Formats: sequence, C-alpha cells, structure tokens
Amino acid sequence: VSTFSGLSTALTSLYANRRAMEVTGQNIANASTEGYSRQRVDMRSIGGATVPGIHAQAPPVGSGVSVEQVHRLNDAFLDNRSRIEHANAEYLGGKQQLLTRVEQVFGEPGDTAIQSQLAEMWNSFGDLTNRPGDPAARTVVLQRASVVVDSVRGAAQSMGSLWQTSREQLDTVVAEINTTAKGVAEMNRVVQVTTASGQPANEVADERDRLVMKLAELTGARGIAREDGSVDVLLGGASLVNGGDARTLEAVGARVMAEQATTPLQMRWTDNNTVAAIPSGKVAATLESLSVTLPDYMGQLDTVAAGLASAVNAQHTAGYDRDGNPGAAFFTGTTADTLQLAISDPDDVAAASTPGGSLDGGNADALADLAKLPDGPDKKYRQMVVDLGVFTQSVNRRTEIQTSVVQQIDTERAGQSGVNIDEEMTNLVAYERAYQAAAKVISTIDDMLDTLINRMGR
Amino acid sequence: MRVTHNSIAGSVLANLQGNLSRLGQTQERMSSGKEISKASDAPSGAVSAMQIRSEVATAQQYKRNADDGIGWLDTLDTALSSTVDQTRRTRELVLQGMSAATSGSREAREALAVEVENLRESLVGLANSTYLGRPVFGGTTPGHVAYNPDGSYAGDAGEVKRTVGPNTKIRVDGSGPDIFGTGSTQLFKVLGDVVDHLRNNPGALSGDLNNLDTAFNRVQSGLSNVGARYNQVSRMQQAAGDNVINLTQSLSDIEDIDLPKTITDLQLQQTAYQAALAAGARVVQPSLLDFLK
Repeated sequence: VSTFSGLSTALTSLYANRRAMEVTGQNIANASTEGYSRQRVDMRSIGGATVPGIHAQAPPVGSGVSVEQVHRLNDAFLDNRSRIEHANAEYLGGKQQLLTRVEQVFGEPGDTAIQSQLAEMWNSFGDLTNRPGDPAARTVVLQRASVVVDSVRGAAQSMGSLWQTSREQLDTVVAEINTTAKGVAEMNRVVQVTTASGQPANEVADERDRLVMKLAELTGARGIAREDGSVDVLLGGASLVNGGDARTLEAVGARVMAEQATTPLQMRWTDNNTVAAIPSGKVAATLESLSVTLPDYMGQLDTVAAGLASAVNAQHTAGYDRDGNPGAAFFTGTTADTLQLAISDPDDVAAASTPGGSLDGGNADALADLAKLPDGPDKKYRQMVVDLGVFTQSVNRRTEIQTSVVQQIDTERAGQSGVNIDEEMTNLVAYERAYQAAAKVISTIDDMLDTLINRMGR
Repeated sequence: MRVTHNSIAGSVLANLQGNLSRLGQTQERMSSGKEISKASDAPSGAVSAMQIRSEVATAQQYKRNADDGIGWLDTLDTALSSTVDQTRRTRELVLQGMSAATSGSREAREALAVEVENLRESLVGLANSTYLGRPVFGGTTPGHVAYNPDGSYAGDAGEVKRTVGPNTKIRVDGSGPDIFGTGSTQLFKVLGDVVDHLRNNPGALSGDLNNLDTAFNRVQSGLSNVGARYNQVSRMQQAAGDNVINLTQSLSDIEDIDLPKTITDLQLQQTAYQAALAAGARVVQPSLLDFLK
C-alpha cells in the first residue's frame, strides 16, 4: 500500500460528496418543476485488492468511494396507473363537456324552452277555439307555431355546429398526438444513446415521460419501459412509438353530421390505413360524441319534429279553414332540421270541423287536445330531455369520482418522485459534513507526511 | 407514504378547489332561486317540472275557455230572462185580446196588435243577442244575426262548445230552434199569428194562446238549462283556477330552492372554505429551512 494512498481515498470522497451536493442542488432547483423526478447519487465504496499480491504487506483496505450512478427515483407502477387514471379522467371530462353543451342547447326546464313554447302553441289553438272568426287569434296561432319551428330548427342547428366544432377540434388533437409521439421517439433515441455510453439521461427521461403522459391523456395509450431506458407506447395493442420510431394517426370520414351515416368517422394509421382503436382519453370521448351521442340526440329530436308534424297535419287536414275549404298541411318536413310552417295566411288555419265557413272551433279544439296525446310530441320531447338528464348526471358523477382518483394518485406520485425540501436540506448537511471530514482526512495525512518527510532525522 | 411539500400543496389546492366549487354551486342556486336549472341536476324532478309546466298551461287554457264560456252563458241568460218577461206580457195581451174579441172594439184590438208587434220585434232583437260579435242563438253561423226580421232562423245547426276541463266539453250557445221552437209553435211565428188574428180573426186567438204557452214553456226550460250549464262552467272555472294555483305550488316545490336550507348550506360552506384556507396557510409554510442556521 502506497504511503500516499490515503490522500486519493480522501480525494474520491471529496469528489463524490461534491457530486452529491450538486445533485441535491439540482433537486432543490427543480422542487416545483412539473414532472421532475428527484435524483439520488448512488455511492459505492471502492474495495481494496481482493487478490493478495506476492509483496502485499498490509491487509486490504478500501480505496475510497465512487459515484456509481445518479438514479431517478420514480415508480414505474405508479407512473402507469397515473397514466390510466388520467386517460379515464380526460375521457369522462370530454363527455361531460359535450353533454353540458347539449343540455344548454335545450335549456330545460325553463319558461322559454321548447316545452313551454309547445304549450303556448297548443294554448293558442285553444284560444282560436274560443274565437274562430278573430283574425288576431289566427295570427297568434301562426306566430306561436313559427316560434316552435324556429326553436326546434335552432336546436338542430346548434347540435350540428356542436358536431362541426368537435370534428375540427379532433383534427387539431390528432396533429398534437402525432407531434407528441414523434417527440417521445426522439427523446427515446437520446436516452438510448446516453444510457449506452453510461451517462445519466434523467432530465430527458423526465421530459419524455411527461410527453407519454400527454399521449395517455389524449388517447389512453400505455407506456412500457425497456431495458435500454426507452419507453414503448402502445395504443390499443398496436404500437404508436417503438423505441426511436413513431407512427402517425389521422381522422378520416364524415366532415358534417349528415355524412356520419354514410361515411362514419374513423381514426386510422397513416402507414397501413387500418383502423386504430382508441381505448380512452380525450380522443375517445370526442369520437364517441361524434359517432354516437350527438347523432343519437339528433335522431331523437328528429322523431319529436316528425311526430309534431304528422300529429298536427293529420288533425289540421281533417278540418276546414276560414273560407270553408279543407285544411292543408300545417307543417312540412320530417326532420328537426327541415321542419317548417307550411301556411302563412291566418285564414288558412283550419279551425272548423265542419265545411262551409261556419264559425266552428271544433278542429282547433282537437288541435289543442294534441298536447295531451299519450304518445305525442310533448311526451317524446320530455322523454328525450329526461334521457339526456339521466345520462349527463351519471357522467357528472363518474367524472367527480374520477377527479378524486386522479387527485389521489397524483399526490401519491408527487410524494414518491417529488422533491422534499426537508430531506434535501438534511442530505445537504450530511454531504457537507462528509466533505468537511474528507478534507480533514487530507490535512491529517498532510500532517503525517510533514512529520515523515520534514521532521524525521533532524 | 412519502410526503413532499408539493404533494401537500397539491392536495391543499385540490381541497380548496373542491370547497370553492361547492360554494359556487350553492351561490348559483341562491342567486337563481332554482334547485333545478339543468335536467341533469335532478332528471326525475326536471321531467316532473316540465310536465307540471305543461299542465299549468293547460289549466290556464281551461280557465280562459271557461271565462269565455261564462261570457256566452251570461249573454244567453240575460237574453232569455228578458224573453221570458216579454213573452209573459204578450200572453197577457193575448188574453186581453181574447176578451176584447167578444166585447172589445176593433180599435182596442188594433192597439193590442201594435203592442204585440213591438214586443215581437223586441223579442227578435233579444234572439239576436251577440257575444263578441257572434249571435249566441245562431250556432256557428258566420253571419251577424240568428233570426231575420221576418222571424225565420238564419243560424246553422252547429254547436259552440268550450273545453273547460279534461274531457269536459260544455255547450255554451243556445240553439235557436231548440229554444224558440220550429214550425207552427215557433215563438215569432206564433206572435205573427197573434198580430194577424187580433186584427182579422179574433176567434183563432185561443189556438194561438195554446201555441204561445208551448213556446213559453220551451223558452223557460231553455233558461233553466242555461242556468244549469252556467253553474257547471263556473264550477269548472273555479276548479281550473284552483288547479293553476296548486300546480304552480308543486312546480315551485320541485324547482325552487328551500331558502333557509340553502342559506344554512351557504354559511356552512363558507365556514369550511375559510377553515381550509387557514389550514392551508399553516401547512404549506414551515420547512427545515426555517430552522437551519
């Protein structure tokens, strides 16, 4: 053993502890950086010679300490669970957002919504029964009916534009997915190269994991860590990112709601043009809204409009107008979008149940009675609103639960991989003391050497 | 479980957020006064509210229909009451004419004839009574009169009905032919005969008296019939009015907030929010840094 070996032992300690203090500094600096995982210096003692040499005179003593690695203290299991829960939260959040907007379209229950307007229209028929000869009563009937028509058509148009906005948003989100996947692949490559050369790539890995989380939130993608430090991203069983390679997605099909029936909206892989399954996340919510929820409520609104038109027309054509002629169709159109008032002359309202222009209000009375039809438009409309309400309520509740699940797992994750200032301060003190002690060892050895070299033999 | 300052700050923030959003919801309920503002707040309550709203509208319509019906029946009642009085007076004149036929002079009978003629004109006028421009004895005629000046019926056989309750349609006009009769016993025909016979054939007056009695009885039974219908409609009017009040009350029970409860909730949530804020301020602050020199 060399006389000077103690010096180099102390030197390794100075190096190692300085490195540890630097890492602690990095941790403290990133205490509130989102997605940062705390790092720990992994120190290992350097052993003495394990094979006794011929001239070895002293029993082997270790020769200091080395920094083996700088670890990222993240929990892969927690990371994966967090991705799944975040994806679910985004999925439910997306659905909730859409349903809230559909509810706003109808605005029930309220004094100005379609239900009230229908009631006012039926009442105007009731008033016409009382005064079949009064032009004012006839005009009121037409006005009330046109308010109903406008509201039904307005609701249909709002749903259509809701569909359109979501569709445009989907394109933006798909572009975001593609860019993010590409980012993950690039960072994977950096991590692979850096890890292969034995250097830590913790910051890049953190940033990459942040992007993987974003992919999970958008699509419900899963991440699988590999030996070389990279992360593969799977989307419903198919590979989105494989090491340093990323694939791209595109949204194809309908551009307006009417096309949905003939060319349904789909997510496809750009490279082989097969359908991509989106298990969860924001995109799954958008896809479901566009292909199921909105067309479904639109269909129900169409049923209401068609029921209204057929019920009123059947009764209206059974009556006779002010001039005694048989009544014409009152509404035209069989969908919410095409519903229109077919007559414009107040005298064409068929209030009478007898021909010949008598002041009979029997048919207007029968029209007013349509409000109470057991399977009439009012009933169907109420059914639709209650359906929507129940569905929205259940999604609201599930969102609320999911939010607290996400909150819990985020806290757990922040606890696991986040920076605790107290801990860092304690470590800093410990490393500083170790550094001071190592320095003390050097000065002590120096004293010893001074004695040996300068004072011996005097 | 390991805890860091960030995880504490995160959960403090999430809890504050939760408190604040509950506070916001309660405040929204307070300021709008509505327990249910969206269908998803309470789907079953919302559908009841919608149903009740349309029932309120229907009940209001029944009430308006009944108001209109009362107007028709009032007009009928007034017209028929006067008709009864004047017909009774005519009968007295016919009796006078019959006694005058044996003893009275031609001039006296002429005077009676003129008075009966005037009464007949007045009765035709009463039979042409209108409500809002429509003759109440004329059925559904688009014309302005139920009887022509010569006493012939100008109306039609249509019926004017008002829906005053669920499946309750009550006739609110008086059918001219039913009340004033048809053929030889039609009131105006009888009166025309009386005038003619007073002048030319006093002997036929006793036959006229019989016809007049038949017509008189018919008018009286018409009057009592109108009275019965008037009672029925006004009862339904009352019922519809009560129904509107009851339904509005139910609607309010379903849709509107319970004010004392909401105010209490609001106060509790405010307290909870303040407590959470105070706790948050204490929890996040200290760290080892504060104690290291």
